[in-house]
Amino acid sequence: MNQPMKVGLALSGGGAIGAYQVGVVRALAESGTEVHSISGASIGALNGAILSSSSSLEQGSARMGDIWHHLGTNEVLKVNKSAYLRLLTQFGLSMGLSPFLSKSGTLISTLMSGLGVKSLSALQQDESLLSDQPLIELMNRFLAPDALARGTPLYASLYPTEGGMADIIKCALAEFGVGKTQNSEFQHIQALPPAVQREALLASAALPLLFQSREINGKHYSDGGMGGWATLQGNTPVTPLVAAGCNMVIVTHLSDGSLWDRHRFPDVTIVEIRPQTSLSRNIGVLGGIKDLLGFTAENIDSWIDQGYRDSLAVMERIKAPLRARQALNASVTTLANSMSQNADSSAQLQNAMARLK
Amino acid sequence: MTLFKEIFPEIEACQVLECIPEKFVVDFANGIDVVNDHLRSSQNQSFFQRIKEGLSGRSSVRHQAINASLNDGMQASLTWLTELTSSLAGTNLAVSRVNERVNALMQNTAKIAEYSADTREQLRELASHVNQRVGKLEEQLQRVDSIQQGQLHFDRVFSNWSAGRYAALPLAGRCYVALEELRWGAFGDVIRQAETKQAEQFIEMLKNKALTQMALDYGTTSNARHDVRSWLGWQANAVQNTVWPATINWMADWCNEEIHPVSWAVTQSYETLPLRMPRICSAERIADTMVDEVFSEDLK
Repeated sequence: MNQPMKVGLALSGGGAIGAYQVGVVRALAESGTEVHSISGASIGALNGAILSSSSSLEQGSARMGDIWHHLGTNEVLKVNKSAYLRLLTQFGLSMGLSPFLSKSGTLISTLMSGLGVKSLSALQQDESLLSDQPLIELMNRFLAPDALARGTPLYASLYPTEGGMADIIKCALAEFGVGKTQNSEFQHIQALPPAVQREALLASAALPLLFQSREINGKHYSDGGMGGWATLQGNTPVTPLVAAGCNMVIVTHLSDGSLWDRHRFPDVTIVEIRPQTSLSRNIGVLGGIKDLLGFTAENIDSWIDQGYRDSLAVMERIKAPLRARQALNASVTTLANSMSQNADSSAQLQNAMARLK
Repeated sequence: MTLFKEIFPEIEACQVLECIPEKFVVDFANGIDVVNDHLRSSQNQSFFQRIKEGLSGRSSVRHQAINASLNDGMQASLTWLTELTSSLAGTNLAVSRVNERVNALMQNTAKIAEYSADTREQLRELASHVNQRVGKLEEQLQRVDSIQQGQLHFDRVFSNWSAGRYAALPLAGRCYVALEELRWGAFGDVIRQAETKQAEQFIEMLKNKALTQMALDYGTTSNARHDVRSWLGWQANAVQNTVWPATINWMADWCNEEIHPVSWAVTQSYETLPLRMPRICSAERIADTMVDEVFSEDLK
């Protein structure tokens, strides 16, 4: 109980729903929470990088808000989104294979490559559609390398790719419960050389542009959200925070009914920020994919607001019983002290009464 | 600032101790959100999603997660209930102890009240006793003072007599005047107020002093008998030049020839003596009888 508190913040992957984390961070900042370590997968890694390079949660929340406002109002991703949608529609891969944008993107890319689809190959060679340049420009604009190097420890979830075809088959099998993907690795970003830090973030980033694996220290990595598919080990990166000594971890989920289980970390106090209402903003067969790619101002604002409200609701639910227990413990201590004084007073009275006899 | 401080903003200790909240409480409360999320997710699934989750085993995993959270809640409830019960038992014990001490305090207060009442009663009795004692002391002091005054009066009168202040009067008249002065002054007060025995002692002392002074004035002994007229006779010049005869006659208008023969003979008519008046008498006889006659009323 008297153990010093070290707080970690785990930011899951989830594509455009990553805006939800802006609201979460805003609520945490307003509550005065201090975060000592951050981990992220896919879009969570990018959000985490912005947060890590900020001097405080307040500043991080504001900067994240600016970035997501930029994503929602600019044409940076327009071509890529439409191409992505086109591809998903064309190949019928919107069957709910993955709730995560980056996973889907990787799967799509790998699957198409493995199948030798001509049109996909053409797209892959199209720099305007699949180039990482828009994301790189975004990072250059909003992410200060020096601030990141000095910032809060950040851990990015990276999936060690075994090749496109192997990855997609493993993911597909894991999705249907007949196989599993290997676990993601968690890279301490500040421990990497500055030039490699951006590569690691790009490898883990969940934006739909990111289709290519990245080489880090001689090893190829792709979307960290694919790791530990059944348990969401890679997409909900709590493991590196626990390894870093965090005894309290705040976990943000970017999907409805996430199957990530807190019981895998029995020695850590975990607060899960789960959606109180559905995160879906689109219905129909392609609704999930539209949500994942829904970088519209309207969607982003609604997810930010939902993240903020959900966080406040979760903290409020925890706050009441903790306050009651704390008050109870305090009252027990006070009662014990009072009883001790009462005993002394009683003894003094008895002595005084004995003198009267 | 930490989340914990935000959770307990009003508890000062928590602002200082950056300690983690109790895990089972967080699991208990946060588990409700987890279960709600799973239940809502399950309820909103489409047909194909339900089929897929069923085939992939995710549905089972989800139920396990729900059950695990519910189990956490039950465990936390049990833990909390046990702690609460223990705390309540401790509180009840404390309340009973406090009640015992309150009872003891009330009993002691009653004892103190009784003690106070007894003390007040004793003080009252003591005050009454002291007042009585003081009253008696005052009476004794007054009596002593009265006796002192009477003694002084006695000495002063006989000092006057022995100094010859009454020389113009007959020998017995001197005694009568001295006795009258003593009777109406402080000495008379002592005789009237003193106890009988003490008054008798004073009377005895007066008789002795009077007969001694009379015998001394006559130039005889106290028991030597002489003609009564020698005791009653005026000096020739005194009768003519003084108002003494009229004065003592007026002063002794109370006396009766039969009852107070000596006083009557001395003050009213020494030429015609009462029958009961001895014709030959000593200073002792005249002084003793005259003292008895003058103070007869005061010694009743």
